[in-house]
Amino acid sequence: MKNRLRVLRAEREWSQQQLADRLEVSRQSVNAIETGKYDPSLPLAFRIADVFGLTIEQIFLRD
Amino acid sequence: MSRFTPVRRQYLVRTLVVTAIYAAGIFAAWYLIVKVGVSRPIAFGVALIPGLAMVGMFYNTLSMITATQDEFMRMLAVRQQLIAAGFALAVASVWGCLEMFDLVEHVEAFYIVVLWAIGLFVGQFSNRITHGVWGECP
Repeated sequence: MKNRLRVLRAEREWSQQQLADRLEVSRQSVNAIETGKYDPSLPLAFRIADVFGLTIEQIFLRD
Repeated sequence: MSRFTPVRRQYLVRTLVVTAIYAAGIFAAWYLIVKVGVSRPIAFGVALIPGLAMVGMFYNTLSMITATQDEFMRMLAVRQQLIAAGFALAVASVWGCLEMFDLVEHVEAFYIVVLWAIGLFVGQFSNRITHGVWGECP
């Protein structure tokens, strides 16, 4: 599943660690999601959407 | 988020405790059974200690996985455990068949724990290749 996490993070000038801290996950998790190696669960996807103030569909895209 | 979370700290403390019990149990069993020559019921009870310590280690590992809040790291830990268990069962099964026909030497059953430990390294290596992370739990 594709996502716009890296772009959204860059727009806010957040490092992966800063985003990880906001999401209460490890930096490795953020990296794995950004690079498409891991698709988050629905609860984590909602947390990501909340952090960016967007909907899940605005962040995660169908392949 | 610190990698040294309370979950990981608890896991490490418990690991040290069960390892100490295991080592003490092995020494006690060797001393009491081999050197002193205690009766069979006592020998049975003493020899159970290191085995039960390993059960504690398995419980500790599974408990750490269920307590890990980071879902990605938890997934990697589960993946690592599945690979370790599969590796140990596969080697033990093949060896057991060869042993049944006297084609290889007899190996004590508790060595499956050693295979499991080797499998944990295989699992970490696999996680590194497929997900770019060794997979240590936070």
